[in-house]
Amino acid sequence: MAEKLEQEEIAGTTPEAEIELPAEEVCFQSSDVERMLAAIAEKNRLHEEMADRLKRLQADFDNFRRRTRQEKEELSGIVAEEIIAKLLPVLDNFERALSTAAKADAVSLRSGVEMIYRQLFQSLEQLGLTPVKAVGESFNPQHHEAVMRVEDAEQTDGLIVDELQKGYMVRNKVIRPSMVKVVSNN
Amino acid sequence: MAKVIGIDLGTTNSVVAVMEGGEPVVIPNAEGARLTPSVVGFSKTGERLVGQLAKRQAVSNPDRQCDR
Repeated sequence: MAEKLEQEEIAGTTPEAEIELPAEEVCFQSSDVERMLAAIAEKNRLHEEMADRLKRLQADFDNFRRRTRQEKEELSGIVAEEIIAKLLPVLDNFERALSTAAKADAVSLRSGVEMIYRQLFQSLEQLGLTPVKAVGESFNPQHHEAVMRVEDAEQTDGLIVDELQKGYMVRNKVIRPSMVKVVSNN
Repeated sequence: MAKVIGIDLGTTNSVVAVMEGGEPVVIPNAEGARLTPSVVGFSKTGERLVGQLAKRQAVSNPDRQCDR
């Protein structure tokens, strides 16, 4: 008789049934109780394991973040060293030019400066530098910065007519936009 | 789990950061900068420009610009 009662209780209430406190006491068999206690113990064990793993993961992540930040700082230092080393020959040539400047005439001094300029430009090109095309192009805010505008009905709107400062890209990323004068007809 | 984002919409510049593992990390914009100028503009072709790009066309296109 008690077993029949408990089967009904354990089977659970149907969703539509009202929640009522049972008039009789609810009885469970000891094997059911053991089963449920074992399940709870297992869940507790799992929960502790997860909490422990989470703590370790957080610590790992903190260490990883700190290490990555250090590596980034060191890397930017290494890159600066490489670039400076590639530009040292230009510095050498400037020193040579300046040491003979007192004796040199203007023409040979000018050609010397031109040679050093070309050498510097070539070194920067090897490092990835490209100048931004400006005059004659259509204004593009990704490459150009408008600093002057001119109204000229005879020219197309947005045309760049003058460049005030050269712009440069490194590996196709604009590091300094070209300062330009744009035709702007309203 | 949803991420928590913080936005500083300042008068001159704006910054966005996300909470990552308990620490805020600033998110760089499309140009790679951590600060974005608080400027919005529309180019002559109707394209919407935000931040540094909008600033660069300010002189040539002042009527279609909003800042501050």
